[in-house]
Amino acid sequence: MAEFFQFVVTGLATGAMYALVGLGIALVFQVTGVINFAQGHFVMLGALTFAILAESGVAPLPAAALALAGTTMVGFLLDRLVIAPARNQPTDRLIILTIGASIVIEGVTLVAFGTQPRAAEPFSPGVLRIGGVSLERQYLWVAGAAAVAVAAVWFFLTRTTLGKAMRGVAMDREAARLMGISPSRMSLLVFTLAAALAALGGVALAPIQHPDPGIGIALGLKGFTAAVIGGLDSPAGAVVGGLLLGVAEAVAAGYLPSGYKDAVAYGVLILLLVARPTGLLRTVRAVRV
Amino acid sequence: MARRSRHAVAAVLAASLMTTACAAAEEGASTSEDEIPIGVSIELSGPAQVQGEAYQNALRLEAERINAEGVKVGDKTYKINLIIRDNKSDPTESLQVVKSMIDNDKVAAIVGGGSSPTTMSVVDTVESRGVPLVSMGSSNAIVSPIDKRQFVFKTPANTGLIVDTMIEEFQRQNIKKVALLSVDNAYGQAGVGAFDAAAKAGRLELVAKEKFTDKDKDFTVQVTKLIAAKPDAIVVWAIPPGSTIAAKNIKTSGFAGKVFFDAGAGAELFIKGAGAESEGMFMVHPKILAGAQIPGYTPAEKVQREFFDEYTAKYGNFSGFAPYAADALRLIVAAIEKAGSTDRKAIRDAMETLAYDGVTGRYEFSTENHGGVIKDSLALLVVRDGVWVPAGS
Repeated sequence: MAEFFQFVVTGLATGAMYALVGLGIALVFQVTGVINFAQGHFVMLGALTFAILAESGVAPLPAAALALAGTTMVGFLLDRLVIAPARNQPTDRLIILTIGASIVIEGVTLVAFGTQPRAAEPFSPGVLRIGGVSLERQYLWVAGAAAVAVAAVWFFLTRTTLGKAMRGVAMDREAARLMGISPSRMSLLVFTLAAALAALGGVALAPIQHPDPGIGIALGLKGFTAAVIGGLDSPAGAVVGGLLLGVAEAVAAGYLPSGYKDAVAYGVLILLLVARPTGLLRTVRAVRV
Repeated sequence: MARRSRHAVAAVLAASLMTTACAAAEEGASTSEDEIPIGVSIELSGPAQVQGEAYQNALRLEAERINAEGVKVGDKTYKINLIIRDNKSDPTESLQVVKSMIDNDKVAAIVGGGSSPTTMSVVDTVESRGVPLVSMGSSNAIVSPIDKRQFVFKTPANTGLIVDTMIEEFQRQNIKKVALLSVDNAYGQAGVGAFDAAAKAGRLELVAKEKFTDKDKDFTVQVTKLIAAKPDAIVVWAIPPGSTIAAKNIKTSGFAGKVFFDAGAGAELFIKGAGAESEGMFMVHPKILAGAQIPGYTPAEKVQREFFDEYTAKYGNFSGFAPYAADALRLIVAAIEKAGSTDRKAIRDAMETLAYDGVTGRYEFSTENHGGVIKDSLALLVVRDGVWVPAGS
């Protein structure tokens, strides 16, 4: 039984990260109708920048601030340079643009920082043991980052005028425009916000994952799966989806041969897309992923 | 107007594409009369890039040294021209790289791939094209069956020798039950195969086996399953960063037994990444990794010592992967000089008769054996105060 709890705890720990990525994807989708496949790459940028700075002796706090600022800047630029000029194109084209952008981000990072995985010191080293279950303390930071992100997003969307405007755009672009809300400004805002959330997760993740420029794709896909489980346009659903996905993966790996771990995750994705495509096929025209 | 500017953009694009194409062509064709082209297919990106970077460093260092002296073929002195290509840690990419080097660059011999998966995909091609290849992959399948691997050699020790060295230590420490954690590719498969064979022969009891993919970032689940089988020791068959993650996850789990790594677990990054967590863990590796402890008395030790010092002076930290690539190139050059020819077949024939003291250790190739350093070159190392030292010292 202790093993089962270990699998669940491990699953929740990795799931927290999927949830954070999924949250960003759902947020962007809700406001712009675009699935941002570069979301995992934002996490990679945050983690990598933080780890590189930490390796070169910068104190954790300024390093985290710089990583956050840098990644947020990239999110800002992604909207201004890639999404905004193509704003009038069909949504599927915008989605493909985010895939292109993710490849560019990865490529530039490779050239700039090299392929080497970087190691940052954990914020709180050591291991948490309860009963027969053990967990690296650093995972608590990841879970904390996810919780802070969820709370911040909830507060922002429901308690601030800007957030309400954003939801307005999500509900009806034309009507929002008539109310004096600029969808293009909301798009800029949400991409920037999504990048900041991703960077937050990346910083917390860096000491565990030894980031290199290649980790973005897998994170993005898992986050996408999390968002799909949650119905794609619900940030809260994405968080639940991420945690579920993490646990499903870990438990499956625990009781099946561990090689099936990814098969389970992507199997769930395919199953959902086929069997319960609400949210995906209804709101977006002619998108096949 | 709009149309015209679009044409202008197209023209600029086409022009820039052409310049890139020219640049690429130039790189390949730059081998001149007195140079011997030697192809290198290594992992400069992808999951195995930690190895590729060390290989590239070692090869650059070696090429510089070799070209300073020149390669004597008959009465002519040649230089070598290294053509280094990134195989992206991908077996398919590696095959494309190797084919292109054979067809376009007319290489005399090939160094690489740097790992078992990127080598296994090319062995049939080099065999049928008759191009000698020295791999840094460790799997036995790279060099056996020997009648289908006439042109293929490798520098890392045979998997069986590493397992033998481990089992000797198991007996010394009274370890009977062993659990195996391996990466799911040709390299990990070689380790699993060797342990299955040892278990079958009654030399140890293999109580659990688990795998992970080279893209996984957490093996807690696998480690939990292994520990549930109550092993005396866990053996990890992986390269960094997998080996690093394994070390951390095993330590986090609170496992009280011993932990052993294959030579692939590597050196400085493993220790750096796993930090204090790797303290007290064992690895079977060519002795050179404990470089500072190499006395440098015998000529063979002197070769190792010099390489260790030169590499460390130039690149800072030493890498356990560097010696494999250095030796691959040294063996090719030695074979060329022995053959007195740059003909591919002649190089192969000479290589097969080499007995050579390299950086990794001693090679004794024969018509039966194309694989790696001999057992005496291996040692059991242990992490003490953050560095690899010989166990028992």
